[in-house]
Amino acid sequence: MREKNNSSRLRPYFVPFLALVFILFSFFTLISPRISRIVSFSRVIKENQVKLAKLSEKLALLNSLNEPELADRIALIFDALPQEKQPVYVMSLLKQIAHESGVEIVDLSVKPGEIATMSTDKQKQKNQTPSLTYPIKISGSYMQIEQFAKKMETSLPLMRVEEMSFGRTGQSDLWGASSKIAAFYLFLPVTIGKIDASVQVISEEEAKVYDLLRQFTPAYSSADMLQPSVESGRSNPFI
Amino acid sequence: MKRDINLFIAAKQPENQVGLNPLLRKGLVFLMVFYILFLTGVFSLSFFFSRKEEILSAEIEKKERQIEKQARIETLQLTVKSRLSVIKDIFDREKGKISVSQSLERIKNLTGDKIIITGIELSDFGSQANLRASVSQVGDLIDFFQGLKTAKEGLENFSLTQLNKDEKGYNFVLVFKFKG
Repeated sequence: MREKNNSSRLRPYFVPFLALVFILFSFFTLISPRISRIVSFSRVIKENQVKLAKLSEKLALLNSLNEPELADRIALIFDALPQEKQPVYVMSLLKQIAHESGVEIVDLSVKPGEIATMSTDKQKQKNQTPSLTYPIKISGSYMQIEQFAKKMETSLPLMRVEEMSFGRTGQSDLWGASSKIAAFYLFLPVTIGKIDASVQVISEEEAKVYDLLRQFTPAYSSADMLQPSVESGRSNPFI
Repeated sequence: MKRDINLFIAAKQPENQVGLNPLLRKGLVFLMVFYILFLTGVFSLSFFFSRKEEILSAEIEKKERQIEKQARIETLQLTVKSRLSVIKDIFDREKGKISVSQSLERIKNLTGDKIIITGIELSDFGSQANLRASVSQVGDLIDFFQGLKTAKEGLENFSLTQLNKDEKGYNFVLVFKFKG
């Protein structure tokens, strides 16, 4: 009788108790994970918004670039700074410059070392542009040697005289010059830019450098170098 | 009818009520309503954020695909940029210096016809020149040095490191330092 009385007294608290249990249980099982998801989502959304802004900016910049103009630029830039040592090309170029200047090449040698692709030959000195040195001995008049130096300095690929010494040979007006010429080259980058990395814009100074390069004279175009001109004796009747 | 009304009044009396205190009951109802609203809010917010994240991810993917289509232009731009900066470095190293051909031209202008150059050594691009020369008349030598003092050939300084005389005339070694 007393137990029945107790249960009837507790019965009204049964529903609130159940409600509290439901609230607590659902809080830990439903609400808490949802809240942590919301927090992580908001963080991801913020990151993605920044990423999207960067990508949009990059895409706008890429759309504004002119591909034919870039292709033109790259042709000249590869002429100026080839991706390989190209010893044969540089030697033939020096020979051509000598011929145009009227000097005679007495001796021209090069030790190209390993001519490797960029995948095997890593650029060791990052701060220094790699170059290959060509010791050369020429003979000619003072004017001709000066002309040779001038042509060489304004020819592509970029070449610089590392050192030069010359003197008269006997009593004549003929001079003999001994020089070391450095021809620059640069491997292609090992990695291409990441998709979310910003596009690097060409600075004003670099644009001036490009304008300066346009005044240089490539002796041969790269295309001529790559295509050997061998007479086959046959012609294309459709051209 | 009167009996029913009395029963209703009796039921309304607090001491006769069965169950919870009305204040507690109201509180409980309020708590449940609030909790359900809170639950709905949390779920809605979670859905909203998840949807927004999905939309953003889709947008990013779309942009990435568009950028991938422009990969050729990007590669060209990257190559042009990196190579131009290297070429700029090469030119920067020569700033304030003169080239070999410029140096030869300046030496020719400085020496004139009376000084006979027998040898030249150029270093630091063309900025430094060791000149070996000879002259037959002492007067020409004096004129030459006088001329060097007022030279407008970008001559930073010069020094005479050697001078001797033989039967043909005066032989000397001069070091020129040119500025660009």
